[in-house]
Amino acid sequence: MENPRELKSEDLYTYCNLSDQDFVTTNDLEELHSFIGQDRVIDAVRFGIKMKKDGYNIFALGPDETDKKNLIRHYLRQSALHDDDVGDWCYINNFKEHHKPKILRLPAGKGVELRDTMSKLIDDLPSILTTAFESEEYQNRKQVIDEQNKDEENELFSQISEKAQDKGFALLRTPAGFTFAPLKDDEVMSPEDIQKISDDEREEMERVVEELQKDLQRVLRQMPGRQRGMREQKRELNKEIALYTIKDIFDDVRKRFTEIAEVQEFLDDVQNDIVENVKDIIGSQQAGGGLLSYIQGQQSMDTGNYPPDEHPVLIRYRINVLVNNSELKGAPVIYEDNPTYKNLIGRIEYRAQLGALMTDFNLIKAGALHRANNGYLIVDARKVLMEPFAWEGLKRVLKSGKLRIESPGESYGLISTVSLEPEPVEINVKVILLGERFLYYLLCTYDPDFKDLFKVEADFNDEMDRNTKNQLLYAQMIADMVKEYNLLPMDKAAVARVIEHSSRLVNDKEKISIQTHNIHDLLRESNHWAEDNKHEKIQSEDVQKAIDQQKYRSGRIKDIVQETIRRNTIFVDTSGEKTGQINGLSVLMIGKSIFGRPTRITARVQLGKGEVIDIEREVELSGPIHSKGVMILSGFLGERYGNQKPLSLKASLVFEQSYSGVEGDSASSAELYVLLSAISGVPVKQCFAVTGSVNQHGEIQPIGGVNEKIEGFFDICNQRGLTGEQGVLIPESNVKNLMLRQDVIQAVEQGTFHIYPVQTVDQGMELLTGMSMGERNEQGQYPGDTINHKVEDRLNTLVERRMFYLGMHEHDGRKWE
Amino acid sequence: MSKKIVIKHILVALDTSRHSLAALEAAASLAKSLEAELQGIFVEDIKWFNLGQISLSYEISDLTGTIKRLDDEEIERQVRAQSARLQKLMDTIGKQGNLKYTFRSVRGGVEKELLTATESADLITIGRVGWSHKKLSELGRTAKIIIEETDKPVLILQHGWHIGNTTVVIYDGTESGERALIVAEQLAFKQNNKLMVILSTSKSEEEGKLKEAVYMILHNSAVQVQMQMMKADKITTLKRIVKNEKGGLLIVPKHHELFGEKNLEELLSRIPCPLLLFN
Repeated sequence: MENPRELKSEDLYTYCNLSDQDFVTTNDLEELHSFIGQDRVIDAVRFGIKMKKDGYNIFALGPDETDKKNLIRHYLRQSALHDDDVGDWCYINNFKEHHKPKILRLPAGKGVELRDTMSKLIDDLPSILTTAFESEEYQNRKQVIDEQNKDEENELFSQISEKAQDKGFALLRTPAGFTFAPLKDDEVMSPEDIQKISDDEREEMERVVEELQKDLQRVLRQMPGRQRGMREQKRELNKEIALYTIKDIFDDVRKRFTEIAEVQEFLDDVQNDIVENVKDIIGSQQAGGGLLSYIQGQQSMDTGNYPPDEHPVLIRYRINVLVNNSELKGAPVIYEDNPTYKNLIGRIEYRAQLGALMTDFNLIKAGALHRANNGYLIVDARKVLMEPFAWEGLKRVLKSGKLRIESPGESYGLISTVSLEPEPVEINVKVILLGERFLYYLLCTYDPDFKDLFKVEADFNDEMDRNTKNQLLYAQMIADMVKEYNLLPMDKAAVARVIEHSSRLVNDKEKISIQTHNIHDLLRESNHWAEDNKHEKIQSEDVQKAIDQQKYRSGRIKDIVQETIRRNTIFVDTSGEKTGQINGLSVLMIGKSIFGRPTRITARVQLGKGEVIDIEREVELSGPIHSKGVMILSGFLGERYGNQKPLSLKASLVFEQSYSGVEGDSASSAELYVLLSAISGVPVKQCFAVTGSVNQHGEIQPIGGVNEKIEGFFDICNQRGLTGEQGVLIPESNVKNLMLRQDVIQAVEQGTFHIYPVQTVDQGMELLTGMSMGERNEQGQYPGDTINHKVEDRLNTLVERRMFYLGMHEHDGRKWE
Repeated sequence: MSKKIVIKHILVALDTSRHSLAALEAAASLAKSLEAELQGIFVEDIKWFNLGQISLSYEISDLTGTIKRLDDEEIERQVRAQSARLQKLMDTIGKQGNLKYTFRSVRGGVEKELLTATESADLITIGRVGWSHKKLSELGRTAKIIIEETDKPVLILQHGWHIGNTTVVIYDGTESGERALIVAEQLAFKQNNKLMVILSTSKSEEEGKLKEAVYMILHNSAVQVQMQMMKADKITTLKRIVKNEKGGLLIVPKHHELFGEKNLEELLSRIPCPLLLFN
């Protein structure tokens, strides 16, 4: 069998060649004004924007490292500029039901204008009305009403008083009413005089008193009606004066909003309410009445001196501008950074007043959905899902198309206090959720409403092809970022280094990462090191320093792991040969740090019934994919060696000194190599480490993290001193993923470290042992001194032994298993 | 200031009529400003108790018109209740205003008992009318008698009148005018009010003398003082000044030519502000 060719340094890294590009620094590059590699997302967003039907909200899915928000916002803003259906949203008092404030939609800018106009009117109102109601004319007319009524009352009392006097009685006041007292010489009779009166006279006096009492009763019973009449007269007078007084200022306000019927209607309501409550409004300008109120049973001694902002009547005329779009050009594009229930739906605030919590429509506060109405709302899916009630609240609004402000306690029936029930706002908003893919798929699976509400899937690419055209676009994107973050200009070599690093981020020399957050960070950190080095532009060495420093900062665990191997706490051989022992390669991901480490894998074989035991699985330290990989080995052995005879071995495989879980099948080729070594007794060279998964046909399949794995083994070998024999076997199909470190490339160049791409188990086994695998001859036999021969030979021996034991026990009459 | 008039005791005649309660409110405010003691007095009218002994006495409720027999016990009960309410009111006002105060109920003739009580007071506050059925332009009988009989300053109040931000005083050059001016300055100072001095003389050549006298009396005062002349159509002039200045308390020498009995009633009906008459 032909050995695989060893990889050359040019196979290990693809340098970015920008020599054809005509720029010196990023300052020379044209602005991109677009996002690269996201055509699918851009089409999806454009589709979502144009689809005005219900449910066509957008879920932008992709890793957090991708700047989903900026891309989405960019396209939404472009689209929003063409929308002019925006307005201001205001809450106004409902004069029929005060606890149900009404919503008022006005053309953009008119909300603030109406608010300011009404505010001025409110400020002026008490003084205007007070002046009118303190005017001589009003006072005279009021006094006329008072006097007329008082005179009429007095006249009635005088008539009774005179009648009583004619009949020899006086009308007197008592603490709780009136009484008639008999007179003698114009003075009230003493009890002694009364005693002297004859029975007849007494009887006559009682008759007269009774008659007078009836007259007085009649008068007193008229009093409430008379009072009512007087109050009605005063009310009419107040109405006349109030209407006359406020007419001018109201006409001014009306003129400014002639074309808005709702405002005219509101002004009608306000005008009527002022007329009804003119006394309370004037009361705010006048002190007094407190003591009387107190005596009459009211609790407060407050004189009613309210500032206009707190006056219980005047605040009804205010305009609560919930959303002011006066400065907005086009439709709103709102990003809600903290999507709590209240921040999305809006809230009703309360103010403490004498120990009680009070509210009114002026304390209704807008949520992000209000601000985004007739526009777009961008929300982070994870945040909205983590906030209590927020997700359900958002869905409720999207389903009903109405935004009703209520506290979660009320919606769930937990609290039922007297509060406001603001009129719901008709909502027409396109919601864009940003989230990771797993969130999208979880929601699709577990939330029955989700697919109906978020029909547009905008799936962000993580990477794009690395070709000349895209490299230039990438350079332009870098230039845009440099300008956006106000960084030093970046020279061509530095740009190239960023592009190369971007390939490394996706572990693919033919791709570039478009997870822009990582690139943002790299640019900013490179800028820092450039400034630190007093460079006028960011150079390649600054980018390299930023990359190295990132690795260094998160490299503590990696260093510890490598140290334990170097100090032989964890056993890894990098020289010599051992039967049934091999160096596998695994990748550890801890926080931001990703690094490879070699792990010793061993195999032992004994007589059995064709089992390969994965010790990791037996102790539940392996994941299902790893277990699957081990089971594939049985398939390979069966297919190659077990066609004619049953496999009669029991093999055990173990990751030595592994104290935590193992997952993935990238070690399955190593496990097969070590298994074959254990069966055949052919030793494996320990100067190699191996990675790659294997299928039942013995083909080596690609794995992830190939760069980290190679670098992990290289670091150990390098620390111990490179012998010139050490190297790594990788799947041939992973060669395209190689973007290795420069020190590894240099070692390969110098021939002190080797990387072999392997397509089959046979190729790998030959490299690892230096012995041919061998192919069956015409008789179906493997030639001697080949691995296959040794394996088969050993398996045959095991079969014979098994048969021997089986026969012996059958002779005993016992079943042998 | 050349002189100071000390007001240590303010008497307030109480019943539960609205005007009487207005008098209490104003008296409390003055007492607070002047650091004076508030003396509340409620006179239990002796006539009520005589009526209780008359077998044919009935009471017609002024609220509902119902009739019930009036006897001693009923009268006692009602008077006790009224007295208790007023006592409670005084307690509340005293505590809220942190005032020194006394309250007493005395039984007897209303005018006589009130006049007796005025002897220990430096200032008397009364409601313009009590419960009597009077025209709005008329003074109540008790108020009239007190004004006529006492030589102490009398403050007349009505429900809805307030002491306000400007103290207005009429100065006519007489001794009582001077006392009125001194008290006005004291009150304006204590209440942080502006003081409007209305110079009252029919002779324009005396205007200078009056001004000079005012300067002499108020030469050390820290109060903001304005002066105006009052000539013909005095009540109209006074009303205009009070209105323009948003005047609250009007202080007038009691024997000023402006006030015959009818003029006083006219003044009270046309100028809706508390009136302090000074001897």
